[in-house]
Amino acid sequence: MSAPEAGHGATWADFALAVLAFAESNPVQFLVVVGALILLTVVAMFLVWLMLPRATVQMERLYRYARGQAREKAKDLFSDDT
Amino acid sequence: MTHSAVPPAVISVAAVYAALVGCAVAYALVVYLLRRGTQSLRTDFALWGEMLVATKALPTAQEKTLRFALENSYNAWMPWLFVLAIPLYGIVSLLGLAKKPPVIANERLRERYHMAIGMWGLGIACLSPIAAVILFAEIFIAAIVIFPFKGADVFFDMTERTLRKVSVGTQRGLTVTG
Repeated sequence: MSAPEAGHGATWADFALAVLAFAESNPVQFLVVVGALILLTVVAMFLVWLMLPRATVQMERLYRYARGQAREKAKDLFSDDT
Repeated sequence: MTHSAVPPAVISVAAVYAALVGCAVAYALVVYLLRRGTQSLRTDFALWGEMLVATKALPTAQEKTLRFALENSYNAWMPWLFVLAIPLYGIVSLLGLAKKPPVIANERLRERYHMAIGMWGLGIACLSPIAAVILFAEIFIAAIVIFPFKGADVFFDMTERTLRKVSVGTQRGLTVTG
């Protein structure tokens, strides 16, 4: 059975068969492609984690600290004792 | 076993996947730069907000609003809540059902309060660029629809009232997490 061509009008089934045929005919190349995609995903997820949740937690910590300082300052300025 | 090149279908799907992953990283970078760029705005708001609360001169409603804003400066759901709430408030406002918020008698205090809320609004809009774009589009549409009927003051009322509604909603048990 020849590998179906996944060109114009191809369905996902055609694509899956093309991938299977490729994996059968050249497993090393197939693993290299899959490995590269997995590596790309892991690197991208790490970068996103670094830029979003981790950075935001640090920024929020800084904000909480600034807010605490501001509260102390405001308490000194507007307390009833002064 | 025959040696063949990578099929074009596999290359195109892998390329589309790589492009999507690249877009996700680029979006995260934009969000990070925006958040980092507006960090000083949020810390300034913390100072203004705490000072205004400490004066004990604000009406209770405004003080509650401000405390809520201080607690939620990093809540990434906030811009999305505004995206949902602003059209609803726009309709309520057009129907004349919206009540005016209590006025702060002291003009200087009022200006500072408005400034602080403005800083908070800009700060949370920059937490999520997609929500911010939708939000500004909504405000633009609201400007065209509501402005001729209600005047410019409606925009501040709209922001403040929406914030108060969200604040009351969360205090009643609607949990909002960032």
